[in-house]
Amino acid sequence: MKELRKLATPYKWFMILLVAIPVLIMTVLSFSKTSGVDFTNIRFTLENFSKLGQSVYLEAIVNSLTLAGVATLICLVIGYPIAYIIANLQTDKKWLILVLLISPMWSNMLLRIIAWEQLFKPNSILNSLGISLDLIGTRLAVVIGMVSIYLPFMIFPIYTVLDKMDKSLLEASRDLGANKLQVFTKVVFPLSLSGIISGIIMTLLPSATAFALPLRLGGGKILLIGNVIENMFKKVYNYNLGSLLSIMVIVLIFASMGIVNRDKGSLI
Amino acid sequence: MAEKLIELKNLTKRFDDNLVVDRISLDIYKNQFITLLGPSGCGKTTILRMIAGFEEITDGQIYFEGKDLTKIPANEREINTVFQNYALFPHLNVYENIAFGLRLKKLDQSEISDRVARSLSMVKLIGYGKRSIEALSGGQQQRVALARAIVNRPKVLLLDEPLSALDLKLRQDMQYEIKDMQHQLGITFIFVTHDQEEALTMSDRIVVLNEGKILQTGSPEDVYNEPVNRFVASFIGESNIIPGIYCGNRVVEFFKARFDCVDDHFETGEKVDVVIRPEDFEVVVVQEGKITGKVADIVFKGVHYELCVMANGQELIVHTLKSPNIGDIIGLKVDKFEIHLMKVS
Ligand SMILES: Nc1ncnc2c1ncn2[C@@H]1O[C@H](COP(=O)(O)OP(=O)(O)OP(=O)(O)O)[C@@H](O)[C@H]1O
Ligand SMILES: [Mg+2]
Repeated sequence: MKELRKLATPYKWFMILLVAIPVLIMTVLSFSKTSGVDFTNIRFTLENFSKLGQSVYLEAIVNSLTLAGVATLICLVIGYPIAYIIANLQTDKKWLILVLLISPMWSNMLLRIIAWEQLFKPNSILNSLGISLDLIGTRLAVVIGMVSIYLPFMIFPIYTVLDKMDKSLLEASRDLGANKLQVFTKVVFPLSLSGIISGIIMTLLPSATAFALPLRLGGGKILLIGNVIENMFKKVYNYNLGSLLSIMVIVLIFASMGIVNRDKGSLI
Repeated sequence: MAEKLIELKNLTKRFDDNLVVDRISLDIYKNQFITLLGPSGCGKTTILRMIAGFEEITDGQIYFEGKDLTKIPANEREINTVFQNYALFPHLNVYENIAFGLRLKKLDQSEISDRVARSLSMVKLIGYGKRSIEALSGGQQQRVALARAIVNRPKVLLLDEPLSALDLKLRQDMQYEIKDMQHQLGITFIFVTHDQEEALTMSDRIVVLNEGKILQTGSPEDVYNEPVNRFVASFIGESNIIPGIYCGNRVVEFFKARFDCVDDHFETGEKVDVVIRPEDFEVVVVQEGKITGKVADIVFKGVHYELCVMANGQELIVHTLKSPNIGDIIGLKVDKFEIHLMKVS
């Protein structure tokens, strides 16, 4: 045990240097007024919070939640059947199918976003087929991009719970009179809820906080919270408000992970 | 004899090339407690799963009340199972687990709560309805599994080693309770176990299996007292198996002496196996016994002593109430009704 702990030492320092300290600095920035990261004239204040009510930020937050929400829902509707089918395959090659499914994740995400961007432009390689999509700047383009990138994150946790589900429970429900549909609705689905919740969180959070994707496929017209944060740091240079927005996102992530863990405890 | 409920005819199951159940024919009657007894891997679970409908049959037929059962899907059979690992639904509490089958039948709320309550009281778990499954001990989970099955009032209850995960004391209590329950419900129980003692205490009829074949079917007394071969004799209870020769006229020779016996369906001069249960020997002084042996070991077993006696180069196990000393030479007597002959297999 002690030996293992020693192995974690570099990781611990890595976390402290690159995660804990920046988060600490951002927390300080959220509650203060500074010029950039120059702390010499620091003044503690809550005025950053009062700016949150402005329509730009509200709109970005609403955009993030609705687009990510729709994308997540579509991922669930597509991903659940896929996970279900793979988990029930009578083959020992399941891993191969899973590898094929996640293999797109090994290529750079930015590259995949740019690929979609090329296809969605009015003048794209699809013209040779007589198709011109012209989707850049639409919500549809953003949602398609999110679904294509985050779908594996939905499939994986659902597949995991379905695959390790105790098959005798399915037999027990049949034994008690359930037909195939009832076996699914009364046993399989409720028992896979923990996987569904994990899947939802794992697609909803990165979609809601994406910034390269809405920038590219939204053509600058659709702003998500990630774009606003990026602008705060790179264009407006309001590090205090940028930090506050980032911290809010972090809090949101931890709160949802808390929900997942609590539900896992009660479901499995 | 009671009415026939289930009839297995040349039932066969093959997994790829592995013959697991080999042409089994068996009649199971109404309101009978029948036990499938056999060593691990002999196909007991597979037989049960074919009756429940979870396993395709390779060959043969199963009839239920005269109708071909294999055409009826598992969920429509009037048969319920108590699974070896209980298979309770972890997302439902005790009440909902038991109500599962009733809800599927769309019974109304008051009847459901009525029947769940009755079945909870039958397994002595009144007041446990709201508990989650994880909050139960192994024995309590076992009772919930029983309640969940009997609440549906099936015509047959299949029980696959339901007691194997329980400790000895709880197990003995449950043996009586299950037996009692079967009397009260008046339905057929098909019980699977590899524990011969459990089979002997609980069953109306025992089916001894080995390697997918039925070796013997009969009442507990029958299989205990009249095992058909060496395998059954050594599987069911402790026994001494001595090689002998049938001399005709209900006389058998073993240990260089002739004994009267009651079996007569053998050829004169045929080699036989002689079975004598440890409790059927009587320890006497040397002059009075036809068998003479030296006491090699003594173990006190609570009520009786278990002696290991060396006689004619063979170890005999003898149960007796009064103990000689190690090294004593003793005589052994056997009543002719306790000498059982088997064909050599
Ligand atoms: N699905 C299966 N595929 C292949 N072989 C199987 C399958 N199920 C069972 N078997 C084989 O069939 C044989 C009998 O198995 P079964 O489970 O019926 O034995 P059992 O008498 O219930 O044993 P136990 O007392 O250990 O539960 C075993 O050799 C087992 O390996
Ligand atoms: Mg078994």
